[in-house]
Amino acid sequence: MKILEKLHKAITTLKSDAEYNFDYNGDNIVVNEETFNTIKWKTGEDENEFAILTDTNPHSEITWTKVKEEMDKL
Amino acid sequence: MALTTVRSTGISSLPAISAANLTSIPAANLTGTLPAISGANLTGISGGKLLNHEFFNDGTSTSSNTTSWTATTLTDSITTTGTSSEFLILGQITKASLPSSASHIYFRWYRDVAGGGFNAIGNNYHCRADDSGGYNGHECFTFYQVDRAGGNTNLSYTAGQAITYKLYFKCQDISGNANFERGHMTILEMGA
Repeated sequence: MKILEKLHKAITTLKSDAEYNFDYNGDNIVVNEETFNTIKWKTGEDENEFAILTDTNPHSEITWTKVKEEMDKL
Repeated sequence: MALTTVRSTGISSLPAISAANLTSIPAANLTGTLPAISGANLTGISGGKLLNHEFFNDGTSTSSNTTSWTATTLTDSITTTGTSSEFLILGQITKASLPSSASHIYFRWYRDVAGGGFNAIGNNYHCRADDSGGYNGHECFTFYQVDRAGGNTNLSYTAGQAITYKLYFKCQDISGNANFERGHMTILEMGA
């Protein structure tokens, strides 16, 4: 299983309706605490159907430690 | 009295004379090699249709499951040159992998004129993984859009304004993450 698929499964295992956007360098996919903290999280949608994204993780269920644990199970 | 006949007898060489008053020179007598001349004052020459162009190579990739329109990093601006121009926007996601054939992703161009805000133009591009393998599929998507006054995009601008185009996406559902890598885009401004 590829690392991005693991990341997705870990996040949605911890919170099934979490939506996120993770931009990364295309040649060097690194998922660690530093890059995890760059993820933008969707908190809603505006009147133009644009995603409202925040740099601050609003999901207390989803921490890097828990995500790493879930990824290691896969 | 017009000088019509000059006998060659006794003429060794012509003096230096000006051509300022020469008229009716037969075209057949205009031969040889032109000197290097400036075209600065040429008139009546129709210009080309391609007025301006921009290119952007995006080194960023994205993994996401957002179900609302989300900006990609594939974006570029062009400073308009002409009035009533037509803009051709070409964008490409060079490598995409989607979770399964049951999961869809939509792309769409958005346009901003002089900082007035991004508005959708054109139609959605509806993509999904090939049936052979979801994440194992590496597909290339090309997005083509014409933007002009009228049509289905209703472009309105004045010459000199900057127009920014940006590719947005949204996933059909959150069941899987869509991954797309390293796009590039070109904007061409063509004269009316």
